Amino acid sequence: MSGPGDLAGVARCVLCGKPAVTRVRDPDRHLCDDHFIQFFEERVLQTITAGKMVRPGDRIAIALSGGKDSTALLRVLTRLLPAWDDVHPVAITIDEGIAGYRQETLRAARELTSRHKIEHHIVSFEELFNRDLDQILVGREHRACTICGILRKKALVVAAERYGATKIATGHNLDDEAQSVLMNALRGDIPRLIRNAAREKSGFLLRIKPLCLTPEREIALYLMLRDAWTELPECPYTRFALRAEVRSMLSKIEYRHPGTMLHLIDAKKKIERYCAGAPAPAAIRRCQECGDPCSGDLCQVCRLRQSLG
Amino acid sequence: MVNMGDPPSPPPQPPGVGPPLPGDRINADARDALHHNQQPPGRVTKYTLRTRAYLIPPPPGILSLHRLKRDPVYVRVILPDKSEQTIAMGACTVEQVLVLLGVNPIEVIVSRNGRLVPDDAQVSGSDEIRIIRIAHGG
Repeated sequence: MSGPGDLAGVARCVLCGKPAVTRVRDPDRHLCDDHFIQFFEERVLQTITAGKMVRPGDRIAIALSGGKDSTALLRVLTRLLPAWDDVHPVAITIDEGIAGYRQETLRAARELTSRHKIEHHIVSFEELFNRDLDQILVGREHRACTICGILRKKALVVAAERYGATKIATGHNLDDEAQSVLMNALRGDIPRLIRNAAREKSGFLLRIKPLCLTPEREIALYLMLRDAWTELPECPYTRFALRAEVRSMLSKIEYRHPGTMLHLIDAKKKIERYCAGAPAPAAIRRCQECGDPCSGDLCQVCRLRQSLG
Repeated sequence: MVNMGDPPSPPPQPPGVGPPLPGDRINADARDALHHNQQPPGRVTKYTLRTRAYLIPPPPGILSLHRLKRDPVYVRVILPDKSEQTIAMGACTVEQVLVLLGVNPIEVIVSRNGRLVPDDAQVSGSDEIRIIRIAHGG
């Protein structure tokens, strides 16, 4: 179906003159497939370098769900990490047991790590909490993302410590980060907004987000150009979350006012800087049940366990 | 933005005969006509500036005059749910097609005739536009 006529009306790459596949912002320019891939990987490298996310000797647990963000993260890190001395990736997948969704993404995760020869471990909710997420959420679907988020973070930390990781890398992208800023602002939850700045000092396992300045759309495009795109289903619990509404609202604003998401991230960094050195709202303590760092008597997971009975 | 005026109300017609009615979909057997940018038999959805309430208000200047009555362009669109729709528009870009279909351009990736293209690529007669929605979470 393709032919020379298919190039009509398509802008040219600003660097080489080949037909462009996308237009990127800031500054606005058209890029072909090769130059877009190069631009994408360089931006991730700059994010890692500027944030000092990787140090020699690190063993990085890549949170690999099998979805597009974690797939792109693993692919980019396998290309970039050899630049650091003695840095090794290990992929960790958390199986929440969500029917009709998780099995397909698990299969994608296994194929990916097998192809790239990356050490891969799967840890399930069944193993850690004696129930899968579908069982836990019966009658509580409206709290799905909150409960899943708390338990999945715990599962990642347990798995990362079990397999000797020094850091956890997640595939959170620019859209996710901007949505989180807006959600925390809508809730008036400033301590949660600046929580990341305090994490390294408090004994939590450090989490890094190399894709935090990369738009979600560009991640999908990168995978398509790398022939690594797979259409996978969305989590069936997404529709219950505030995040779905915030995502829809923010993407409309971003379309009409490009750069809004980056402004939100910048605002968050400014708030973190203003709050640095200010007394913490509550000193970091140890959970009375499990000993994990927390801000109250019990950590989020133990509080949740109590509330779920 | 130029006011094209309201389109005339079409007279009632038996299905598949006569001028196309808004909101109808084309029979897939009529695809050959599209290759010659001829109006295919059956029903074609025609979009004008007033066809739908925009789910995403477009930025100023995104919609230009659609020369629908003089130079219609018939474009086959494959939507994210794999359904197909043929639309008749004036000369336009991929972004304009998306906006008129109520799709946010930053939530999708578009291929034109099998090639990934930026959203400012021109759309011409007999083009096939495939819209790939980006699943969230990952």
